[in-house]
Amino acid sequence: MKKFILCFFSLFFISLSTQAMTVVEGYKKLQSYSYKDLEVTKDQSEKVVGQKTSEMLNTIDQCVALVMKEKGNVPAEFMEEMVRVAVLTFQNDPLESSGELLVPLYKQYKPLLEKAIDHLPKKSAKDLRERIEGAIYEEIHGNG
Amino acid sequence: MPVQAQESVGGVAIKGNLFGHSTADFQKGAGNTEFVIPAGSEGVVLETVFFPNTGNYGVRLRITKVPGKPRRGLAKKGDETWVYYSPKEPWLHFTKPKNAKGKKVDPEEENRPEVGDIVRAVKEGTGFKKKKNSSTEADGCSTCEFRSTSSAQDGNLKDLKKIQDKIKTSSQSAPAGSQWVNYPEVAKYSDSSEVKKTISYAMRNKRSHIGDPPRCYHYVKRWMYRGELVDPEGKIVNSPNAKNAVRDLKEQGYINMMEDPRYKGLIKNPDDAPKGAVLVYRNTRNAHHPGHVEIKTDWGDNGGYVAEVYRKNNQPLINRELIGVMIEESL
Repeated sequence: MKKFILCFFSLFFISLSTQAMTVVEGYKKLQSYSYKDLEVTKDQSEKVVGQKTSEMLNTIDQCVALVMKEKGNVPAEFMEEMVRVAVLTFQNDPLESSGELLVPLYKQYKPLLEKAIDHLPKKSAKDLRERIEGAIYEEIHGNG
Repeated sequence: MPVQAQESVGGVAIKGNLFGHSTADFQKGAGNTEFVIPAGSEGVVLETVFFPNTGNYGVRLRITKVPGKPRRGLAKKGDETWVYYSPKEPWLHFTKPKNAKGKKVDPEEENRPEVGDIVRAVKEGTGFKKKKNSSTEADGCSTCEFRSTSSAQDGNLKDLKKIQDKIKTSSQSAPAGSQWVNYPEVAKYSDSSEVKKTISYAMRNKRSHIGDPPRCYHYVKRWMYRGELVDPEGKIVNSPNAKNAVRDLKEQGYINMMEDPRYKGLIKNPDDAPKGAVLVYRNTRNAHHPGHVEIKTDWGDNGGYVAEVYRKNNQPLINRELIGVMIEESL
């Protein structure tokens, strides 16, 4: 019984914490990330940068879930910020996982995502599109 | 500050594609890269420079043989160039000098050890063998940094000792304090020549950017074939999904350390995996996703992860759950 109550409360709090993220909060969080966060310096080791990148990817993941939940009714700036951070993570994530995270949006709200990607510099936009399409291909055909 | 070693005469076979540099400056941004020396080329060692800070060498070569047709950007026969030589990743294989027919060879020169001998001696911890004609250690070792004066000799011995220690820590089995110290079968796998060959080949041939489409499992299979870690005739050839690597490798005689009761609780994250282990992940969000696979390149958090690309540490890796840490105990 104790275990059940503990499990219930932990699940309740987890769901509460994920629900807590609003579009505005998500946007502010995305806006807070910059190129400097991913620079390896004396104060910022590779491990710290790796953790920061993980945090960015988690935020993108949450934001994607948010857009899906809102059925695409989010401001264009939100989408633009999301793709900006997605490209930013390429710098320290050799697997470029952010492309994979955007796949659900690409499948369901392609025009919305394409519009946001168009605001990126040409090379970044090309890289991100390739990575998303690569992730879709990988899902269908495997990686072996 | 590099230490200039003396002129040496010896052959060298190049095992991987190397950059040729016009000077002995191998730092990034030196801008002295001349051409690529393709694998299979041969040359003669003209000069060596030892870098005490890194324990590596700069080797000046005269190219004597370049395989294949001459191409733009490739080294030509007769070119003289500097290459970087790391004892940890020895892409140069030093051979005994071949004497021209009828040419008299200076006996002193014949007795000179080569860089390969120096590195081998340091690696094995045996020191340099005295040559027949030499009365002192320094006499028999004119190419290396031993000098007849005792202070110089001591200093160089310390340098060599440092290299020896570095090599020991990097190439020896589980480092002291590691949880794998008490598991000789794991250390045996990690220390095997197959694992070393696989990691070395993967590090040389990895991509700088992930491909379109990404093909981690394809590349891991390639590295494993090249390092002779798996039988190329095996079923692993046709498997398209990385998450199936657990099943595929089991068929090749591998064990999953995460399922083995002997190693239960020892591996909580990828950093805990032993050197050379094949790490298999599944996607936690999407059951249809093929997952991910990579090879650990060193012990603990010193090691990176190599598949199609190289990751320096285990962050970031989102939506992935470690489901397999594969090693072969019978190596």
